[in-house]
Amino acid sequence: MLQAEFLAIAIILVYVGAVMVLFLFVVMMLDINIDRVREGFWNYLPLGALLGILMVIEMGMVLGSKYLQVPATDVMTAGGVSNTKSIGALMFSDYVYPFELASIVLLVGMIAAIVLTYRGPKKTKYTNPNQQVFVKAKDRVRVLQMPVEKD
Amino acid sequence: MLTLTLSHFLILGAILFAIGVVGIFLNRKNLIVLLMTIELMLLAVNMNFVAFSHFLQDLSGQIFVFFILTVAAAESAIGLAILIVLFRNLKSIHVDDLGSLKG
Repeated sequence: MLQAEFLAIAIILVYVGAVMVLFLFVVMMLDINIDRVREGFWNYLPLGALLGILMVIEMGMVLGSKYLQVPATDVMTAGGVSNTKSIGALMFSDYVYPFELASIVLLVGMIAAIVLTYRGPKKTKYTNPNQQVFVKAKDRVRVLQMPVEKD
Repeated sequence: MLTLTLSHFLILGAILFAIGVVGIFLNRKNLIVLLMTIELMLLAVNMNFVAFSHFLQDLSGQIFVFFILTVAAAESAIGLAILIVLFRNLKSIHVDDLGSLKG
């Protein structure tokens, strides 16, 4: 295959561990009327299917043409160095500045998601000592006048 | 024995991308599915990057996939947060209900 072991694992971990869980949480939180989602599906199907097939055929014709062929080189990992190690070496030497930028992007995304969904401090029940000290007996006990019920 | 060439991977990427576009066309009522199809299109681009990186013997493509992955994760997190805020305000994520800016 493509000898990209690090990305294979990284993409699976990120999409299963983060993105899928995120989507699941959101789907769980929102209650969606599934009937309204389904409506209009068949109206858009012919146009969508036509467009998709057209796109695949076009791209297949372009990409399958013999001008775009790169000879299948038998390759290659540079002498016993694993894919992860070479990616790490490249990422922390040539691409260290974009790496820092990516961390800032993730930080901004995290803070933005928290700020957008934060709803202020939770309203908890608490005791007010001032009211407790100054409470009167008539505030606590209320005597009702009820007619006696007879069977 | 079929040897996989660059074109195979590029066509696979094109098919993934087309599935994403068709998903946008078919499910334009539902914002969550729209976000999922955008993720699918980004994955198709990643597929192309990895294929080129392998066949051109340049490891930079895989670094770029890593960065695209970062941006895609941040994008889906913020998108879903916006979706939740939207649902709190409108009680609906139906695309047709989002016309409050329409004159």
